[in-house]
Amino acid sequence: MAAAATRGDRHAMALLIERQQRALYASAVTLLGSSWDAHDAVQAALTEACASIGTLRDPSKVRPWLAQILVNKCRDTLRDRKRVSPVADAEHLAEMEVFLGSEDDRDLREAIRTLSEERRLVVVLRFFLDLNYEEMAAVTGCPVGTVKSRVYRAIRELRGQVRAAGGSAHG
Amino acid sequence: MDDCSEVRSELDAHLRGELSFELSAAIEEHLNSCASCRAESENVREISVSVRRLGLMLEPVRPLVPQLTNPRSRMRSHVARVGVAAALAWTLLATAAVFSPRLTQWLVVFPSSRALEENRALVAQERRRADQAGDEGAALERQLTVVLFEQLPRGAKSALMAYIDGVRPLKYRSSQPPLLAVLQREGLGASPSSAELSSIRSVEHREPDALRLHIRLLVRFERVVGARVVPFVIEVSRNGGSEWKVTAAKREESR
Repeated sequence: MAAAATRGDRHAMALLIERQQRALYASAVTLLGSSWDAHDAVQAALTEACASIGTLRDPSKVRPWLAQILVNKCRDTLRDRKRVSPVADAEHLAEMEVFLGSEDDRDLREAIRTLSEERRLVVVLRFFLDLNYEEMAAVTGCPVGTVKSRVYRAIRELRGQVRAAGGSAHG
Repeated sequence: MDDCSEVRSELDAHLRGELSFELSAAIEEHLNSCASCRAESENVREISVSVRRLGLMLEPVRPLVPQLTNPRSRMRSHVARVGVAAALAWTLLATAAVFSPRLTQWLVVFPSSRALEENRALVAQERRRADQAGDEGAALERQLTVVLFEQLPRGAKSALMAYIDGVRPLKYRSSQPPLLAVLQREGLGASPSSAELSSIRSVEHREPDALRLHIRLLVRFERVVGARVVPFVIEVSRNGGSEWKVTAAKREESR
């Protein structure tokens, strides 16, 4: 499908977009903390992807390629804000989405939002966009070893926060 | 492999089966002899499963992209197509409004899906003709640079550019003020009525270079001004990157 899209097959490109849009949105809203900004970032990323799909040399790399475009768009948005506020309040997040998760899921989401920007990025790349470590290294511009240790630390931090939240909720 | 911290940073990749056979075997060996890392491995597995599941729950109320590609869903396709047409029509109106106050008197109707199909045929025809005649657009006189385009909501730009690129699935979804608000802000009045416009005649792509870095688009449309039908052309350009600008807009010679 990606190969067909790179050859200019619009139908294949549309299918590709449909399959990726949910993961891209989940990533953008997690990185930006705002569903409004996430919509814009994903649309901008998809527009750029549609315009430049012909430049993608290796169709098997379409997911990291899309991820790179999205991350760049999110960085642009954060830069545009002129203020570092990747963590938005829950009311703001509720504006354009329905979250049907359990209390545990909410705790986990809250924990991800409090991660540092670099840890949140690797969490998104790994678990939402499903990149492998080599691909994550390319997107983040860091060595594979650094990315691995960042992911592990993020997981450990998340586990600590979720346990603390669960403990306080039940205690 | 004896170093616990080294093992732990590999646990996620190990659990996903992404490591080499040798490295995986070494980690398994370590886990068999280290209860602490074994417990940590279980923690990593639990959190990674939970985070992955969380990613599937995060979705917007409205779809980002309408599902156009399912051939069984003609209605959805039609609705999305009309949505793009509406976005395009609004964008053109807002853009053109900047260079002519007379637009306040112009009347607009969104092109029907049939009109869009006809437009596409016209686009293809014009592209073939342009290919044969060379870069005829080079003679286009740049009378006015329209800056409103840059002020449009990003979603509206996306919709227009998606249309330009021939990728219709992208639909106008803006979190910014709608184009109507832009029109009102510019003092151009409320929503136009259906009797007021002549339709967009064509959208023409020009790609002077093979890499598609420099792309010009000519949007031709006609409007009824008084008793006359006046043809207009708007030029939209992109020079590398993804930024587009409306670079020229003019009345075409009366035919």
